[in-house]
Amino acid sequence: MKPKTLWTLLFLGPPVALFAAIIAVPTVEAFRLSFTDANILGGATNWTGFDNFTEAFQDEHVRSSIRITLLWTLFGTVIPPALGLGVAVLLQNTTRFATIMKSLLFVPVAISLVVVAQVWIWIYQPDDGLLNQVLGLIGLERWENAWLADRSTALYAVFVSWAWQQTVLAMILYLAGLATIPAEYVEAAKVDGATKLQIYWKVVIPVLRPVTTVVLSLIAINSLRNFDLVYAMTGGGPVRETETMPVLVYRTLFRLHEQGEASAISIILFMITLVIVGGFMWWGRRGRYAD
Amino acid sequence: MTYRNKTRRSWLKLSILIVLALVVAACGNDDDAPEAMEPPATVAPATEAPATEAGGDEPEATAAPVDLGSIEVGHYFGSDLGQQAIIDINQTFGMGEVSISPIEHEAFKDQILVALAGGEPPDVFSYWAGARTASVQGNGHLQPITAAFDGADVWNNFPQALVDAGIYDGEPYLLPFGFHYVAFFYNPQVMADAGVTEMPTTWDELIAAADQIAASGAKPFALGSMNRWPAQFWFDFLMLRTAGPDYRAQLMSGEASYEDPEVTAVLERWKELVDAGYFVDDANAYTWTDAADAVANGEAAMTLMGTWITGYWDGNGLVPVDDYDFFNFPVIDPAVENAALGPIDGWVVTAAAANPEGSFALLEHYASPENQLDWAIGQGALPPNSNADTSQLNPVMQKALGEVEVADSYSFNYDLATPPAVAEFGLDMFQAFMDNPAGYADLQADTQSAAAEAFAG
Repeated sequence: MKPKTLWTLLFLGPPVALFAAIIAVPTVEAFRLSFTDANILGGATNWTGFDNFTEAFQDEHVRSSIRITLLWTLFGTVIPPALGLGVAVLLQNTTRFATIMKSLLFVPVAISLVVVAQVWIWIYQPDDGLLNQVLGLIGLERWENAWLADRSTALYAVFVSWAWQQTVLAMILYLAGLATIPAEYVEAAKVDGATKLQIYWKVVIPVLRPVTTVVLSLIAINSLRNFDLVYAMTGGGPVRETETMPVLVYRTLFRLHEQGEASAISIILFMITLVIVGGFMWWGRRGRYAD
Repeated sequence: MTYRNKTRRSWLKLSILIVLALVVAACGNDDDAPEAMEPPATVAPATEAPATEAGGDEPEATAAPVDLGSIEVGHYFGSDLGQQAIIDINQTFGMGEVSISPIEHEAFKDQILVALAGGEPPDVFSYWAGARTASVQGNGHLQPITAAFDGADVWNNFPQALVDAGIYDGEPYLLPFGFHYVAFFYNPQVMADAGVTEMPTTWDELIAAADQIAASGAKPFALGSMNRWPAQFWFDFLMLRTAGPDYRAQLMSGEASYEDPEVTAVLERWKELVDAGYFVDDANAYTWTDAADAVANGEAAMTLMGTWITGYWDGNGLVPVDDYDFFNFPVIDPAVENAALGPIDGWVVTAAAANPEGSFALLEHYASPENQLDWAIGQGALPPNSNADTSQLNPVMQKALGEVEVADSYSFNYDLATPPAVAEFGLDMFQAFMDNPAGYADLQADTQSAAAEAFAG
């Protein structure tokens, strides 16, 4: 064996083995289990073909969790990126205020989602929560609500707390992207008589397309795999109103013990993720600024 | 051979040596890790060791200590005092090293399943008697603990109802360690302020008391059903006091339907209470500790909860009898027997236990009246061993023990009485009911549909 080959194997072997152990093998195993009636408690496992998939699509709770997850992803890929871009544009200069704000706004992404959940649970508390107190102070007592217990508001309440953190993630990426835009582009547009709005719309945003692709892909993935925040804030309730697909997988596996069915729902989620993130990647490649 | 190739080979040899050294070091650390992380309990004098063989006139104290090796124990007991009691109890076990892994109560429910599925569970773990134990026992994850039952003479030292709670498929699998009693725990001051001097014993008296409390400005009933399970006690007791334990057992086992008139009557009676405004607003926004706090600070008069609430209140500095007390769920139909309700915590030994002999000896140790009492006091539970000196329990817990003793029967609460796959949907129903009691008929139909599917397997 050539020394170069040996070195290649030595350095590439461990990461490939690690990838196989923690990604490839479990994924293949999940595919296999999705075609069985496996139970996490054990017992005989039988091949059931596509039964788990057909039952999943017939189950109103699975359909509901798909709807919730897609709605979350839709809002997630619009609101946090738009807000993140807006804040990044406002903070892109180097004034002392902008620097301090940038440092402060980084805090949410550095906090564990479970801590974020505890903070927002307090904000939404019906009695002494911050939101209801503020509403009371400004004379909007009639809007006070049990935000996380009300079936019509719980999903949006959890979404807002998640979007708060994701906006900062988008802002960080956009700040990095804005710093790479050559000043000549903006200057040339100004010389051509473009307004501020036209400069952003026709120059800055198109140039940021690769960054936007990364932002949308990351936030879409975060939307689709969202478990910890929802579980910590509502556990999927009230009455399963915030049951995203990962929360449903957890419930199906650990509460109902149905490993085969939980694997099938995971595979459905995996496919949805591939389609959505693949779509963003395709969009990003298709309209690359360099092209 | 060039200098470069020589150098490469030298580096390669050096790299391999480093990797080997790291592997050896890692293996060494592995062996040391448990000791470093969990100092083993000291091997105490053989006070618990079995007597020496017959024929010896030597005093027992001279017998060599028996060392049955190390035993891994996992448990979900969250109370600080309860956890400390476990540590203390393990330190007096003189027959081996006990390493314990406490896991948060809710997380334990999942992690133990992962450990069992992965084939690496602890030797011994705490578990809830009833349907949960039945589900893991039925799948071959546990082994019978007849040796521990015989050694501690659980058969004669524990009340029959608690012995029965440990029997599955005709053999003992769970050693009862502590049990609880669900009742109306109330704030005496709020009751006094509302003019309720005699605690209700009948349904009419309960409604009259609720009216008085509501008129005084407090909410009669606190409930925190955010995590669903606290609402189950209302369904349980309304069912036990109207349809009785036998019908309830049929419903829990799938022989009766959630659309039966008995279930409808329970939900209609419960709905009357909600409609009357007796419950705190937005029950689904709160946890059981929020409800306990609402009673403690006087916003509400009472909450239907288990005796573990005393551990929570004691930890917050409340004084039994002065600051809290309880009364039994009132009689609704005098023809229906007086059933007590609550969960039983116990210990099981896994089928894959590396040290079954040591595990049985440890369970025998856990069964002693002194150890059961120590833990019960720390955790806010009742000791199953009839020989425990219950005069050491606080007056409220002594009263609870008395209520269980005079009860006609003892039932597990809903999520331990019916299989987990059914309980999930029942718990959903209770939370949905608190959200919209008027929709109870749809909830019954949905729950029956899910239960029928789960029972059909």
